[in-house]
Amino acid sequence: MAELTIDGKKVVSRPGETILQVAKRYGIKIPNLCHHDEVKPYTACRLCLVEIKKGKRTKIVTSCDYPAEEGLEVKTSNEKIEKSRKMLMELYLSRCPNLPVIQKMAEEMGVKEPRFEKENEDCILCGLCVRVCSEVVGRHALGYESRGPERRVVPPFDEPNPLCISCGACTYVCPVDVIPIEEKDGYRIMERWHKKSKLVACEKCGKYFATEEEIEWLKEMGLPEDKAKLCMDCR
Amino acid sequence: MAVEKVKENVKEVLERYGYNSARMIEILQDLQDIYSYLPKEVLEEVANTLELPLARVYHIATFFRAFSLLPRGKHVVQVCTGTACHVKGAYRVLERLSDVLGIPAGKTTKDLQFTLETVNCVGACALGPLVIVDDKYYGHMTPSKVDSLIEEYRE
Repeated sequence: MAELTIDGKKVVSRPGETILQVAKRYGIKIPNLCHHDEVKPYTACRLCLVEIKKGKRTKIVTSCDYPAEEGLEVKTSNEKIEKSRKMLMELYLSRCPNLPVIQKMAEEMGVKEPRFEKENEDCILCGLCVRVCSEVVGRHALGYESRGPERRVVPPFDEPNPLCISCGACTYVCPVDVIPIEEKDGYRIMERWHKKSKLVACEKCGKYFATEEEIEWLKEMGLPEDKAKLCMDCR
Repeated sequence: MAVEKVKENVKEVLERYGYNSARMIEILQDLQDIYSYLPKEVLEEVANTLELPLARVYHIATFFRAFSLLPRGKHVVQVCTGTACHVKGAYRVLERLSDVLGIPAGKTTKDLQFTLETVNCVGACALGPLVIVDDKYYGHMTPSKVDSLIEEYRE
């Protein structure tokens, strides 16, 4: 429990909360791309910058990992922050000029044409898919490759990974929606990871409801044998 | 690649570092010394034995330029392109090496004899431009010295 102010508003934080989490609870919007409540802060996108005042000093910090401390005065927007965010947005727009999410965000921030050379990447390297796969699903099927301009997210060796269960958690969390998932002819296909998983039909209603690997994993996690044969509706 | 031999090599190296994953770079360096590159089977064996996600080991192996995941030649020819060597004409030397070997920097000849690489400063700037073949340093290189240097190593 700590009392602090965000944009002049008095807020009370819960133990362990970050500035971003408190702000969210109070309905104060802070832009971000790489944050998800279910995974640890990663400070990759840098968009959640805020200015904090502690005593006499002010500084710019990432709100997604900064603890909501007693007595902090937080500003979610001012000239300095906006300048930094706009710069970041310009960089995102030059890296991924064709992503609707980025285009929309840039437009909202008043960023038009980036001054930098345009690339045609689709991944912003926020790492959410990598983190959700290891922290939430617990499969560690995804990771990074190389560094600098060559850095990208791939399963090891950019080959179909037996650890991937095609659960689609990565698709679900991807902030720019570039991890397609498709079900066709009894298979679930995750093209980006070159993964094709056989689907299992529910014993009762006959509908496909999970991949073979998903069921194996759930059994390992303690799902009883009889439930593993039925879909969510029939259980 | 012989599975037994891979297991044996990995075990030996891991033992040397007390199965401590914090020493991954040293582990991978030693394994690369054995194979001249890091074969997939070796990375998998390291990950399995240390109970680390393969994705993590793969990230480390691809992060550092000193590691190669593709087979490298019997002789590794490195051209220093650090600032000092650069201004002293390293790129002319590199160009000549490329011509003589018939490969661009970063590639290996088809007969697996030579791998050509660039490195960013090896701390011997006074000797620039510098070419390193395997672990031997050749200072004050010029394009005209390249041919005879390669001949020394060519079989």
